[in-house]
Amino acid sequence: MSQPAMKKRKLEGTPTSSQVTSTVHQDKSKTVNGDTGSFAEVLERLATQGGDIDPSGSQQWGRAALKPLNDQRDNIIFQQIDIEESSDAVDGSPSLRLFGVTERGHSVLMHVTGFFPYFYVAVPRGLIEDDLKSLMRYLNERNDNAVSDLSMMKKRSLWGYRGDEQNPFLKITLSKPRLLPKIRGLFDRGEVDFKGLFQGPIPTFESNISYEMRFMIDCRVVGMNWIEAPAGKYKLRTAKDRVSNCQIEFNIRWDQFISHAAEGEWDKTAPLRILSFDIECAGRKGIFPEPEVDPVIQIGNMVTRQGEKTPFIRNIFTLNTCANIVGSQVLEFEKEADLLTKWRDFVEEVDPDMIVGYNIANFDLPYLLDRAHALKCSKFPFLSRIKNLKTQVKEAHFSSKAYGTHNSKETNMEGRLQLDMLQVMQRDYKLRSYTLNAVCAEFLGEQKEEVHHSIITELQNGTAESRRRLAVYCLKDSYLPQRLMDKLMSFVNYTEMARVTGVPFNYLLQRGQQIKVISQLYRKANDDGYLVPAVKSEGSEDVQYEGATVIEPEKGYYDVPIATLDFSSLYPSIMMAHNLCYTTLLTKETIDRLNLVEDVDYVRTPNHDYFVKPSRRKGLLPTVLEDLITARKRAKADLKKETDPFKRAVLDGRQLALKISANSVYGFTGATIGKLPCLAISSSVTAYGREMIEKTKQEVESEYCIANGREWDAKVIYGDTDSVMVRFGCPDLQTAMSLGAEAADLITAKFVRPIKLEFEKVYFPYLLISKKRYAGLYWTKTEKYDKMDTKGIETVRRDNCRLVQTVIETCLHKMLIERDVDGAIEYTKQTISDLLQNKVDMSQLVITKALTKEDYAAKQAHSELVKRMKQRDAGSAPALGDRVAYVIVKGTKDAAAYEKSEDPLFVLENNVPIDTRYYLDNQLSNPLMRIFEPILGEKARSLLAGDHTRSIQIATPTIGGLMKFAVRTVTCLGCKTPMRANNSKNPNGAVCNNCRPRLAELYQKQSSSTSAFQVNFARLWTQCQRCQGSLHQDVLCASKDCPIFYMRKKAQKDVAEAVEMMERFNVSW
Amino acid sequence: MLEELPIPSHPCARPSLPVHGSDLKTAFDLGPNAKSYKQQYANIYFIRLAKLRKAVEARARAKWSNVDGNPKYVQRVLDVQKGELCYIIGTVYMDMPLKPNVLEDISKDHWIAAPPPRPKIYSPDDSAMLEDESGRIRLVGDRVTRSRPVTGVIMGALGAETAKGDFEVVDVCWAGMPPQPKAEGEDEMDVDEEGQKGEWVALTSGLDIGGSAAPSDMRIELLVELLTSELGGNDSQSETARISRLILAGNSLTPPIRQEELIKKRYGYDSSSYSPAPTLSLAAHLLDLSRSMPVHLLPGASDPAGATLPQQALPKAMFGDVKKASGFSCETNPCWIPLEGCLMLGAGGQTIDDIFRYVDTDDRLEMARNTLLWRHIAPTAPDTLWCYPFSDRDPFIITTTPHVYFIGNQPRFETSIVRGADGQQTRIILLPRFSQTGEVALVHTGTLEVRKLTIELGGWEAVKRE
Repeated sequence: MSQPAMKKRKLEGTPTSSQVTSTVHQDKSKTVNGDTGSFAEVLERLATQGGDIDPSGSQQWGRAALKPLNDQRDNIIFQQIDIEESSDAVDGSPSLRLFGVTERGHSVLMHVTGFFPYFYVAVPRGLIEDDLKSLMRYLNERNDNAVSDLSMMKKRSLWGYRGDEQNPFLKITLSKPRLLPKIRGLFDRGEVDFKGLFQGPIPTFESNISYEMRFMIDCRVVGMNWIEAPAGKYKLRTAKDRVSNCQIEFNIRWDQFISHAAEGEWDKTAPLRILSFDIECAGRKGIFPEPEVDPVIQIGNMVTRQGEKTPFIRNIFTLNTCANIVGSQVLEFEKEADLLTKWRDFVEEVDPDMIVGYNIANFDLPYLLDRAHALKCSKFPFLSRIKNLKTQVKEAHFSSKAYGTHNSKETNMEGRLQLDMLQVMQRDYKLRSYTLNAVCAEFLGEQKEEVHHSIITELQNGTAESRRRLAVYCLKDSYLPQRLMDKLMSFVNYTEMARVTGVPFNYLLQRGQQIKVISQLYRKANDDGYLVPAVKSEGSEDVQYEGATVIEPEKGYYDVPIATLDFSSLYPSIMMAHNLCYTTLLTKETIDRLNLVEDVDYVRTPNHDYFVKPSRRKGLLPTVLEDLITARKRAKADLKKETDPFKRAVLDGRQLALKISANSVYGFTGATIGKLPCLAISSSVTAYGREMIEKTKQEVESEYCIANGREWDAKVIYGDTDSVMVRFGCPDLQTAMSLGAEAADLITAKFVRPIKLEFEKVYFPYLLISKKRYAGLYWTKTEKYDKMDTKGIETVRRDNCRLVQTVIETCLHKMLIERDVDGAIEYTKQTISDLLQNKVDMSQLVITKALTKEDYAAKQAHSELVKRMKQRDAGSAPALGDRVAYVIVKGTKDAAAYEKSEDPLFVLENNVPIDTRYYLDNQLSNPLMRIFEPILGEKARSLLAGDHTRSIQIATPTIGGLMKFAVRTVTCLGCKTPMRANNSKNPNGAVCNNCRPRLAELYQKQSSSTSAFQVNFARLWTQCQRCQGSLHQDVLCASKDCPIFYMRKKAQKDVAEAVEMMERFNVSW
Repeated sequence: MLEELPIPSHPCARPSLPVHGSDLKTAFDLGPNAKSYKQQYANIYFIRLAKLRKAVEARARAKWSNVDGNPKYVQRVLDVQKGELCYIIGTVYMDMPLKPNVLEDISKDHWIAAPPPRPKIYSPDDSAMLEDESGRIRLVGDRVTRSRPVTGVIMGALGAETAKGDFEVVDVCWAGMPPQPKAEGEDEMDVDEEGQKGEWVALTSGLDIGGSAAPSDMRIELLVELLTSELGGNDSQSETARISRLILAGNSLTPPIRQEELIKKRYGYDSSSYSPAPTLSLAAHLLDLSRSMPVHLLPGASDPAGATLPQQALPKAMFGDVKKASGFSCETNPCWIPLEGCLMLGAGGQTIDDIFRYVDTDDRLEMARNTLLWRHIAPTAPDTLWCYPFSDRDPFIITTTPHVYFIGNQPRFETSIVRGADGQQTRIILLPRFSQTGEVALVHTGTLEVRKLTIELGGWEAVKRE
């Protein structure tokens, strides 16, 4: 393995010895399992096999040892994952730290030196080359020698077309990144008083971009790409100069390394070490854990190498003893401070490149740091790769049009990526609930045991066994984020997004959409000699420009095929077709000055803005978009050919990233609080869009009509942002499809390239409810429908109970797939009838809401309930941050809705009557009317009234004022007559005297319903027993998201009641 | 620990031996107070393991103490040391992908009807776990698969933990058959078959009264006449005359057919009604039979006795006048029937039907035999076989080896004798459904000899068809 003679050996020459052993070991255990050898043989093998390797990875925390490097011979090639700004310890000159991993899994820190931040200002009239020295002196004297260089160069501003000539710009290079805003401010505020040349505020260019981004753009580094430091060009750091725990640390000048574009062989991923973890705290009753008081009792860890299926380290840190867990290492601690310190050491030794978890950003990491602080555990807050750099939590305010505004916390861990799966979920998926349990049920298809935090403390205070139970739960939770990430391909997709848009990986969750466009815009602009102006974001008001609905929907239920014609990538293609860009934007003055001719040199958009034609100048944004779209086509083509599942995932992630990027360019130009808003572009785009939809309608209707010799009159029934729905009039799918395809081609020809109208699908049948609300059966081929497609029909809204979703989905299914409108009506009536008779499962009626603050201005159902629950039992009441589940119960006549909320468990235990009317009127009614009105018209109202609403059953509560005076009377099971001594043999028996002959029959009836309850009870409780993974311990799961949580509680009650009823027969006989 | 079975001292009188009372008789009675469903299922497993661990441990020690490497008994599953040969005892849990999952059924789209239950939930992807109070460990190795364990049995496993954290099993052991009370004068009995002690007991199951098949009603008529000696030639009469007891092992009635009002749907009213005819018909037969011999009636899956084991005795009163007959007794399912010198254990069939789903074999006799070796009549309860959540006992543990062990409602008639390590012997009889086969088993309580009696309809069936 060691061949010093070998020249220019790449770092990744040979596999490390530890990997060799582990493969061999796996093979061996496989043969053991598959073998059916004799008793003695098996024994023998077991003895040899139980050797040294612990599957929990307790002996291999650290990275594989590194062969010594020779900086004159060895190239260093690594995938960079994180870039941080830094400065030289001695002279304070700026540098950058690029963290990464080699293909063999060694950690790297590359210090990039000699790169200085800079920005531009337009050269004022009168300033000449010779003035630069004195200008520099002027600036430096007043600003701490901030400017390290001044130079003049010819460039063009990105903003507006002013002819083809280039203008002189002053490039101001600064000695330190933090000085940039200061110097820029001088120009912004017009405080540069140099020979009277700089009059008033001077606009700056490229001054509002971070140092790291500046570096990445200039050096063509994109997020997560591969970097090569050629032998001889870099200098390894000696042990005493090292600042990090990385295995390889070296210096290199910023213009000496090679940045590989993420293509071909360079789209691979290094074997990053991924730590997935979860912590448990022992809270007090009724109080959400507070780091000042409540200890961290367990930390579960799973470490996986990217690309491998199973974690190679599985361990748990526990406070106090914990019984052995097969397959996992248990580390027990007497003192909490020791636990935390050791965990920190563990993190340092394992040296994860990425840390994942669920809500780690806002809970786990801040909690650990705060707890360590409370315990005065001073060694703890050093979790980054830089030695002696303190890890701290910062409050971050995040506001984005796409993702909404929220406050979050950021914990710095230089050199490590962070991926909080909760944030990923909230960004990329619209769900009813974002609890780990709900998310797992949705994506992994499994329910998860949930241990309520009040029980956690009990388990912790129990025995080693009860703590083990908690540990198993904690380990499971620590593995789920990793599994989710793998399942959803989050890492791969985010990596591709970072590569496509050129931003660091960590930006993707911490920043909004804009930075991605900016990164691409700067890169392209710099290539083409443009400078991006630094625009102060103005108009914080959210200007709502006209929506894109063009053709009013003709509501109704269509039992004929409705063809859908879509403009593919509408907004990008409009920008490309009409050359809409910052660089092509014209003003009236320029037109006059340059004597430009409309439709020859420029176009006027429907929004009355002017843009030059590509013949004059090709826009930058159209070029960016073209590149993105070409790249996407290529990725999709490669995807078709590729067979390796891992590479397929990468390609798929890439094409997705490219698509999203292309679509976000439009949004960027319209973002008024953005870095470079240009409403002329965005409004023109939407105006073109509207015009095109109108035109499509006209073309379709004039072409496909009987007057034009066609068989039917076509009608456009609805037009949305980028699609029109056409009823061609034909009754069959086949014709609709061929007409659709034909029309798409016909109309595409009438638009400017690359605008393309595509025929994609036929809806048949189609239920058009209103703007942006419709449902239909989706066909792309005539043999079988693809799916049921719904838009804007609220089934996932959280403040709805699940019943709404169930009913709406089932109705749509019956209408569209089974084409059974009567069936849907019947089903709805039955459900309403069940609801009114209290037969609907409680979990269907539960509404959940997070308790986010102690005092709401207006009284709300969930916060009021919490107050009442606290009075009943402070311990079990939800705490701040918990999600409160409630149902609406019957109240007094004038009770406000918030007074009628009640804890579902309390309702079940005490038979509190549910306000079924509320559910019918406030929850079901509107959504039902929406989908039924287009079909039934006025008659739809009959769903909500009539026979099926007359039979009502109200539970008899066991609590409450009046019940103290009420006497429960036994009624006859046959005829419901109250049983009295004068009408029955035994008043506590089953039947009255009149019904006695039917006794045997009634017995059978009761018996069969009792059986059903018994089976229910048995099925539900054994399921929970299975789910928790233990037969010998009672189920204590409190997962309110689980569909059977309330059901099993109800089953207990139901079966007990039914059995009691059966007992009455014994008396009668 | 084990209660000695009282053995009757007085000689039995002909024609019918009185049933002797014992604690076993009420083993499966829930009693009037067992109405609570607040408790969970963990209790049963806990008690089961606690009660059977000693027996398994004793057997394991005897079996493995001389094995090379002197395996030690590790008291807690989790304390197993890697690579060290040892044995552990715990409850088996079978993790099976095909096991019906109520969560899946619920989360399935509401419009998709649930698929019919599978006859087998066995699949090659099944894996076995061994669990005790401390935790569980996965069992691997061919020996486990071959032993065909099911959830809930108490198993001893010899082996070692692999590097992966699994337990590689080299041998397994069960509690084995429990002690058996000696029938008085057993020795003499073998000698003289003719001057035998004991009686002939007829056993059948699955009368399925109320089913649509008319021939089965006819068969029952014939059966009743045969047993009450009103039918048949001299030969059969002499034989049937010696039958002194009848046991009906479940499914005497078919599941009630709901008669829904189809004309007009009415919301909120359970309009289904149950026809009393089958019950009346069964009552009439029972009355006829109980006039000539004692009759034991066990409920089965299709009888109106609830869905959870142990099914409680049907109320005698359901059957009208027969309730007064002294020889008529309604039993639980499963139940112990202690006869003079012969202890019988019987079940309606659900226990074996459920075990059948777990294993890749159709050998039901083996399954029945296994339940004796496991000392547990219904190990899969409560996991997949529904049962009452007992909190203080597990009545399904077989504390005493019975002489006769019958299981009703099986696909076909089968029988064999199992002998235990300590000389116990049990006659296992799988009873087919009478409505389908017309078969009745006769067992002699003294010799454990079994004969099969078939009620042929002969020409009648053909006549009926015309």
